[in-house]
Amino acid sequence: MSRDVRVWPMPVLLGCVSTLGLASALLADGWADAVSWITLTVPVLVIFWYSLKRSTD
Amino acid sequence: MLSTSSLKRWLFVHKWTSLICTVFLLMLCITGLPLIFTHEIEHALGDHPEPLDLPTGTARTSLDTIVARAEAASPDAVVQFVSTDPDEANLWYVGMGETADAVEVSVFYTLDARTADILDTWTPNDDKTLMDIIFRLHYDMFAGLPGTLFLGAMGLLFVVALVSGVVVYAPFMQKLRFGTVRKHKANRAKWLDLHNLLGIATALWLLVVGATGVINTLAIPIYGLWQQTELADMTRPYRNDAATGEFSSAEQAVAAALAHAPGMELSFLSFPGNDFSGPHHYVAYVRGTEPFSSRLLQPILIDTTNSHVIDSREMPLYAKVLLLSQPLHFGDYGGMPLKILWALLTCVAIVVLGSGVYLWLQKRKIPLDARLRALQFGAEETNSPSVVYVRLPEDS
Repeated sequence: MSRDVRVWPMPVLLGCVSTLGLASALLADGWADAVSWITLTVPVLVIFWYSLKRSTD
Repeated sequence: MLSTSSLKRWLFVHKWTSLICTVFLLMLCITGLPLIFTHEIEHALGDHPEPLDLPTGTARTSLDTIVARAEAASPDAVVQFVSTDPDEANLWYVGMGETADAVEVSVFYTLDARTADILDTWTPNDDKTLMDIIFRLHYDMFAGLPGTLFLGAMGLLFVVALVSGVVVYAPFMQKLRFGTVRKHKANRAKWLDLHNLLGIATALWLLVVGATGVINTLAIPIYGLWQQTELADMTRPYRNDAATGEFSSAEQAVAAALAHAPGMELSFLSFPGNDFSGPHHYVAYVRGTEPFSSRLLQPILIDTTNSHVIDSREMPLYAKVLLLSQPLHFGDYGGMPLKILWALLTCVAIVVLGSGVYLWLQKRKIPLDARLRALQFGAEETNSPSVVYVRLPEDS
C-alpha cells in the first residue's frame, strides 16, 4: 500500500491551489484577483514543465 | 487500491461517459473559447453600441424619458424590462414584446442614458452576427430549451467522466512519478501519460466549469420554479386587483427600490405582466456592488399605482447557486488575466478530450483483460504482444 502514497500529493495540492484560485477573485477585488491569476497559472505551468521536460523513465 | 473488478467497472464508466459526451464537449470547448472574450470581440467588431461621446458628468435623463422614447419608437410593442450593464453606466437597455407577457422579445433598444437617443435597435429578424451563432451553438445548438437541456445532460456525463477519470488515475500511476511523459515509448504510452497529466492537473477547474455549465442549463426551469413559488407568493395578495393599464413612474419605482436597499444598484426593472413581475407590479432586481454580492439579485416588489415598495425577499439558495454558477462558468470575474487563463485551460481540455478519443481508438486493438493484467504485473502500458497475451490461472 505504501506505493499508493506518492500518487496523490501533487493532484491534491493542485486541486487545493485551483480551488483557491477559483474562489479568490469571486470574493474580493484587487489583491484577490492577483491571487486567482497566480494560483490558476500553477496547473498551466505544471503541464508545460512536465510535458516539455526530457523523459527520464 | 481498487480491486480488478471495480477498476474494470470504473474504466467502463469512464470510457462510455466520455465517448458519449466527447463530440459535444469538443464543440462546447471550441465555441466557448471565443465566448470568453465576447465583450472584447463585440467592441472590436463594432457590434456593441457605444454611448455618445459627451463630457463626463453630463446628467442622466429620467428613466421615464427612456421608456417614453422606446414606446414612441415602437407604439405597437409593450415594455417588458429595462436593464443596465455594470460596465456601461451611460447605457439603458429596453426590451419590448408584442404583448406584456410575450415570451420572446420583439425589439430591444440600446439608449444613451443622458440624451435618451436610441443607439441601437435589435429585432429577432436581424442578421445574426458571428458571435450570435457561436453563442447559440454553445447555448442550445439552435434547438431551444430541449437543446439546452441536452447539452446539460452531456455536461453531466462529462462530470461523471471526470470523476471516474480521477478514480482510475491512481492505478495507472502506481509505477510512475507524477508528470512522467514516456516520450521514447510508443505513441500510445506517451498520449496516455499526457492525457493523465493534463487531466489531473486541470481536474478541479474542469469539474467546476463543467458542473456550473450544467447548472446554467437549468436556468429556465430554476427561474420558472422561483416564479411559480416565491414570486407568486409575493404577488398573491394583489392578484384580483383590477388592471388600470396605467403605470406610475418607473424612475420613482427605481428610486424607491434603491432607497429600500441602500448600497445596491439596479440590475433590471421588470414591467407588469411578464414572468419576472406580477400582473400589477414592477419588480426591481437589485444587486450589490462588492465582487460577490454583485453576482446576486434581490427582487423588490413595487406598486404601479404609486411607485411604493410593497415587499422584498432574498432569493432562495437554489437561485443563488444558479447566479453564482454564471461567473464560475464564464470566467468573467477577474479581469483579462483570468479570461486568458480560462482560454488556456479550455485548450488543455481540448487536448484531454482529443487524446481520450485517440487512446480509445488505439485501445480497441488490445483486449481490456490484457491491459488490466499488464497493470497487475506492474508492466508498463505497451502495445507489445508479449504482455498483451500473458494468461493468468483464473482465465478459463
